[in-house]
Amino acid sequence: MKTAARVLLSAAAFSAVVAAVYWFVSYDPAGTTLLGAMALGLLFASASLGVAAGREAPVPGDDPDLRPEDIAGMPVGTFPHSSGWPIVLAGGLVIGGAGIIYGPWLTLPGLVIVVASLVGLMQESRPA
Amino acid sequence: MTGVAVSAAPAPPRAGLLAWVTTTNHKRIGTLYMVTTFGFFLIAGVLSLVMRAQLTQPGLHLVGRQTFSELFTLHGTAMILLFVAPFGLGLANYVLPLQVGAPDMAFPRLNALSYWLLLGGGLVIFSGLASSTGAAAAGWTAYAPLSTIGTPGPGMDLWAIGVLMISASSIMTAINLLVTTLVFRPPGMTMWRLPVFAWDMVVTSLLILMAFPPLAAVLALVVVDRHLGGHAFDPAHGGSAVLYQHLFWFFGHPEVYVMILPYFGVVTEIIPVFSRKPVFGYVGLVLATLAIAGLSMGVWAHHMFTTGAVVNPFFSAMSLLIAVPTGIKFFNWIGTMWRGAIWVATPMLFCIGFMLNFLLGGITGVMVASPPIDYHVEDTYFIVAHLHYVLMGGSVFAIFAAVYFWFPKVTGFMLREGWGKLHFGLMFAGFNLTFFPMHILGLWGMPRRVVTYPPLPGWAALNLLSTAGSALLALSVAVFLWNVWVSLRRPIPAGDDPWGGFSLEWATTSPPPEHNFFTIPPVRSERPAFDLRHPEAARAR
Repeated sequence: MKTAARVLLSAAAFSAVVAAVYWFVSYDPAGTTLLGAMALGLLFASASLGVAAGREAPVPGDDPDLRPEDIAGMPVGTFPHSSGWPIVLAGGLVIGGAGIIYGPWLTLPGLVIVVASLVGLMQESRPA
Repeated sequence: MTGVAVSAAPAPPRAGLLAWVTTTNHKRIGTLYMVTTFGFFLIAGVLSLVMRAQLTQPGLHLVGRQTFSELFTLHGTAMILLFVAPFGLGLANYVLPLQVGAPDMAFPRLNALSYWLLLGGGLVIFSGLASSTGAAAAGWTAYAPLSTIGTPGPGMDLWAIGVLMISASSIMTAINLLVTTLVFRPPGMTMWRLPVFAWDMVVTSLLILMAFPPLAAVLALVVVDRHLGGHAFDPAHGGSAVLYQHLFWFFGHPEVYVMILPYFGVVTEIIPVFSRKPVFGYVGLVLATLAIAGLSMGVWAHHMFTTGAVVNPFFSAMSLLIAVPTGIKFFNWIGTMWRGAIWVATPMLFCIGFMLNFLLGGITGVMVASPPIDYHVEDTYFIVAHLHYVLMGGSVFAIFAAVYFWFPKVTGFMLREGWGKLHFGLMFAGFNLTFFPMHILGLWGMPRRVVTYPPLPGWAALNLLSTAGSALLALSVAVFLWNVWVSLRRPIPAGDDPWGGFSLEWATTSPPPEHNFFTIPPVRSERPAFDLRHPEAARAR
């Protein structure tokens, strides 16, 4: 995590320098805003990872000397076999999106499908 | 495997078509991605064949102006947003969790949603063909005001909404790939022991997270301008058409690297395996990737030199700088092959083809990074040649290298070497025959995106050559499809590790089990599968 945080911090610093140089050579607000937002975004991501690395236990991959047997029995995560909701949600977004072009008679059913599938996904994700 | 992978759904896995439709397994989703995007490649390829047929001779009337505009718009959109970029994400979907020893992607349901949104977005874009005014016809760049007030009808709307869905899909996949790599690495696999492909996908994901939101914003503004009375890009009402270009290219140029960095990773995985050597300069390769990504975010306006509204020297200097880390990568690939025991199998052939083609695309990239040259060749066939040498000669050759390399892992069977080599030969010849003449046509001033051209000296001959090359390219793809068909109909078992691979995916079965590994070997270098086969070499380090 610390390596990733450092990489992101370096990228944020680089973006900030480029944004500053760009502003002084161009006085272009559009490009400077985009570059500045990029620097801020990277800084935020770096800080989040840095804080997480400080607060939480290190992930197994960060220890160069750890062996697989050292963490035997430790849960890795929760992985569902299958779910029908993602395709339903995507279908709802397609229908809702088409409503922008063809009218609200499509937007409403699209919205209903999107909300229903989001609820379905949330219920499915609850721990058993 | 290490630890316990817990299933949230107690129901047994479904079978048949339903299993594919409801799958959340990264290997199935990765396979769906790759097959779907390859389908879009075939469609976009057919569109390009129609365009080449129209341009064979001056004055032909196979298709009209409107149809031709729709053809190049759909061709560009499909190749870029529905094939080259998402194929890399699909490949990463399959390979990356295996390489980092993870049981699946971090967010399996989100992963499935990403795929279905990509497919939905693609279908929405192509559904424009069935609309009363035809499909989108403003080019894949969809410049305003051409895309706002210059292209009426639902085709352009469908294009904007479809691309919005694809950008949402890409952003979600990028988050998934990043979290999977950062969190699910097995014991001992520090970031500096990650396979280079995984590093390249981390950097590609960061690029997606920075580049795609401006695309989503600009497309939302296009929809607002078209339907809700907005004037964001209409100078007559206080808007700015150049703002569209800024926002679009802030996405558009990093998108080029979203389309090439995964394939730099592919080539860096394959060359060491077929040179029987560890990769030369691992850290340098990773840092070069980071440098390319960083610089690529500051070069967007080199696509806008001729607007007169940007600071050309700044963007020229930044663009030229990208040649340095890219050169480092070439140096490292050649260094890896140097004095290696090179095995010229089909994946390696495609990698060598990638290097030769991409080198030429890179050199012409340096040329057009210079504003005086760019002023001369802007919107000519020289640019068409340049971008195809990068994206087809580079990325697509690497895609085929990846397919030949990982096909045995995905299916458990080998692709036929003889057909593979024929495929490579036809494709290399067809590609260069198609696109090299375009450099000359561009320098002579032939504009791109035109349905026909005047019978000037030499133009017809070079266009004829180019069309003949495209037929050869089509033949090469047919040979590939035949190879897949034959290899699946009369399979030759591959075993778990037919190439003597280096990274973790070669330390599990082919195809891998549901959650990828029964046991994970210790990771003490960036070549854990090699260390497992050669413990004496690992001990000696």
